[in-house]
Amino acid sequence: MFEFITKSREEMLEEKRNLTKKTLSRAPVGLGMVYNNGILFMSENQLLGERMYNTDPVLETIGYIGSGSAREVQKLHRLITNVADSAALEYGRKRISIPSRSVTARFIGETYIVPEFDRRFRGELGATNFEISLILGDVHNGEFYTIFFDGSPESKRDFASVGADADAGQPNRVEQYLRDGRWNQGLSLEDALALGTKALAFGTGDRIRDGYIEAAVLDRTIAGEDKWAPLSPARGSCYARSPVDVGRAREIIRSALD
Amino acid sequence: MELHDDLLQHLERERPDLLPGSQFAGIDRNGLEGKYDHGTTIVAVKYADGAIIGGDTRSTMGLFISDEYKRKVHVLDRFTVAGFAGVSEMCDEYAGLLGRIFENYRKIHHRALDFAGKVNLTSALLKKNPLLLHGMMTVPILAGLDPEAGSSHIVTYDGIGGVTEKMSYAALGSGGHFAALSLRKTWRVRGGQNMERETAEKTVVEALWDSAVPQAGSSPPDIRRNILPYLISVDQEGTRQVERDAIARYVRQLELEFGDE
Repeated sequence: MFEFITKSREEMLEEKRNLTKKTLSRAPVGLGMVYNNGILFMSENQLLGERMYNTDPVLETIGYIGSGSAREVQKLHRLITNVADSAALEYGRKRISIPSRSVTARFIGETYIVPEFDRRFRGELGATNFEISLILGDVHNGEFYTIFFDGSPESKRDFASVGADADAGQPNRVEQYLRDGRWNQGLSLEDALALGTKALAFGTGDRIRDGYIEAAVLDRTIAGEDKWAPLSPARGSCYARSPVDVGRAREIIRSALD
Repeated sequence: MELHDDLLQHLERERPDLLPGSQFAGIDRNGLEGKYDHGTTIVAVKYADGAIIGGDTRSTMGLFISDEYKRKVHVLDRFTVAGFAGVSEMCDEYAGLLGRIFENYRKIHHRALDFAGKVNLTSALLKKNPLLLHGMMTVPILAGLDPEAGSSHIVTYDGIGGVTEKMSYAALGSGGHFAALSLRKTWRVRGGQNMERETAEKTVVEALWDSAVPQAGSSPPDIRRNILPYLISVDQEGTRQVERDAIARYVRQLELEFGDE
């Protein structure tokens, strides 16, 4: 049987937007926050025990956090890793005595992710758009570049949050919590972890449990080029070690929730 | 943009221009003649803790020396080092690309690619070089550790991606034969697989020194002009570049023992 579509383009876009918003109203809340030696990423993650992660390294000084279903996180992970490595290759494969700083978090967002999200959302009405929002963070310049599911970007300093409220177009409760005089530039990593945990609890209406909080850092004090280190258990040995070890980080998260 | 499995597929579909040699694919061989540099001797030995790789620093264009300070040995990732002989531009391109490909696997799959995987990916990439049959290619040596198995490995490649695993030492490039003869006389009697680190470093420098005497493609170490080989070791701790002071010391010792005057 044929079904004739009589909707206008605007109606179809609106429908797509509402559908995605509805899906994302249940998406995990994620945040990025500057502390004295780097950037902290935190996210609620129901699947942490099954070793599914929302936060990963992108390049040596860049990381990201995705907020969406596990399927969307994996799709985005592959996209972002491939485009970032391709850019790093283009601008940095010939080594001279100073490293190339041409590829930043914002560069990756503007050049690849925003156009791709936009094309899938607005360009082809029949295409499946990404049902995910993300924050790219760059420890080199302390910038957060947030991209929503429809490709609209925001550049933020100090802290940023995606998921739930932010995606539904509501006032962002996590950012509200941090803005109310609680965040400052001199926070140590331990203090930032405690504050981030409380902000996540506030932003999710206290539904969060300590076993469901994922964390990772980009820390300038980590030796070597790779600055990204996980603060979640069972992430394997192929990453750098954080200045605060995973056990201690879990303790701080647990006590901040009490 | 489609979603691609990994960086290699992404490059092939989206950015083929970033793959080594693709810019010149289809060009007449004569069009490339005399346009590029050649790099030469690479040496690798196993020792007690892992492996050491070393390379001289000369690149030549015909009868001319185009660079006396060329870096031909590179860290590819935490447990892998590589030396590249052949067309200088190809060596640099492959060094950058291989490191990125290994890193891409680690990030996508949340664990490091194992050494056998690296060997195979490298072989596949060498075969993809469209200028292979023009002779515009690189022949690498890969040395590394498989941290899980706790074993060290050295493999050499031929021009079309063929792999040979070496249980002791390896040498490639225009001075490769001379370096291999030098190692044949030194590696086993100095301890072979159980050789101490400093002895291994000295043995590599000695092989590079020997290889530069009978042919012009490799630079003889020259302390006065600060021309010294690059050496990188890999062991359970990761990779480490051997200090230039130590290398200069080995060279001075060799000059005293075997110098011509």
